[in-house]
Amino acid sequence: MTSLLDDKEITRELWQSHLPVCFILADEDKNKMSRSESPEPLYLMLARHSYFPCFIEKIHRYYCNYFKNDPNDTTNNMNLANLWLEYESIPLKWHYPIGVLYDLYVSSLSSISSHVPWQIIVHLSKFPEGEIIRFPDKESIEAHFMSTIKEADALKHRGQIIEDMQKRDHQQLWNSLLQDRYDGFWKINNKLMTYTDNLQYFRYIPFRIHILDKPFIHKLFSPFNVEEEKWTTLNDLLQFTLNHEAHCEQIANEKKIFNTNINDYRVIIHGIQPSLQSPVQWLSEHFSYPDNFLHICLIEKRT
Amino acid sequence: MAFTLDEFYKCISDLYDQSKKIHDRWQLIETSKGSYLIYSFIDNNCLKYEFHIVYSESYSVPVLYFNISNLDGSLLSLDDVWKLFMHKKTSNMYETITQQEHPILHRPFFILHPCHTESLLRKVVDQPTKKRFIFWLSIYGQSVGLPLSVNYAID
Repeated sequence: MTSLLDDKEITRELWQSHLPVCFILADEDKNKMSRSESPEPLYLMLARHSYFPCFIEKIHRYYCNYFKNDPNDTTNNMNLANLWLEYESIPLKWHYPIGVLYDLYVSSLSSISSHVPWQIIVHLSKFPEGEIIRFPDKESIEAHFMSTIKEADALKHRGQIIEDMQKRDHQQLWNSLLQDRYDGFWKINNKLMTYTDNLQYFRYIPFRIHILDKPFIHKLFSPFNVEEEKWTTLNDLLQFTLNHEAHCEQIANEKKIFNTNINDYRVIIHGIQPSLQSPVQWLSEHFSYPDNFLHICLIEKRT
Repeated sequence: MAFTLDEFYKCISDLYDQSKKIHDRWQLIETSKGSYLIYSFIDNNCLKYEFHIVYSESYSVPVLYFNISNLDGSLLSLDDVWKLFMHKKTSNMYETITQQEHPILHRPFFILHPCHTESLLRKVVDQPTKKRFIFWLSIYGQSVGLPLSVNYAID
């Protein structure tokens, strides 16, 4: 696929994209405060491509200041492992990149016009372990990130490229993300964007479609239509996936039939509504998150 | 070496049929998101084990998901699970087991990472699909306490 040299700038722009987030302690945890004054909200500017579990320690340390004077605090309420985040009564599935969660939940649920700073409730107890993954340390979110990248490479290249890499290359991917080093990340990530099996494209496009209140959708989808000899577009990918989903629901005789009309959705990747005619191969190379997946949020338009 | 989705479905429905015959406890669950097998039991220490065998389209192999819970329903942490099976200290915990979103139930489950499954299956490449499936299940299941009757290996 021919691509302009300038296209690389898009990946840099996306890398630099940040969200202001305002963390507010949940009321029920405020009651356990030893001090009389309520903690001030905590404001952080977070990269869209980063993950909330990377900041658990920082958030936890901030609230610890308000608790530490309590000599009777022998409970595990302040245990870092019990910290979780909520938006509009939904526990945030923080194993997805921050930008994906923002695009999905804020675009779908927010009733006000100004969405920033994004206000998130911090809980220090009652961890909903049946709904969200625990990340007790930095290693666990790193492991999650690496397993997602491996899955992407299994789709793109049967896992050949990630397997051939050295362990230090894997670490460089993660560390560059943590330390916000674009060049360090792309030095390795470029290898994951090459082609194998004598193809001029990826075997399959790693993507996930996120819709509010529905499990994410993932299918095998090729960026090139061999029979018609043409590149497949974002529109093709969405139509294929939604039709497949509706078909499966029909077979299972589920009453709620899926809305397959793409025009009824806003299609958002990285906070942007890309043209539906964009070739998915190009999108995969430029609009994927660092985990190498295209995270596509579908927001049902309100009537 | 890999399994197609149809081969996988054939394997799990065969295993399910055989399980009924020998009065074992495998259950076959069919949903609009795909079919999978469940095996659950409570051990002598009152821990409840639940194993799911789910197909991974990305890797084209079966994947073993599991959770272990106390009687009050609380889930064991990865550290607890790791200690339970006394895995060698030298091996890297996170490269073997991670907590992930179950692809059908979308709840947290532990997963034995599938990225080495295909190379494992290469060792039995000339065997019929069903044999390869049982081979995989016996090796992966054994490492996290899934009991598998020898009957499944007998034709």
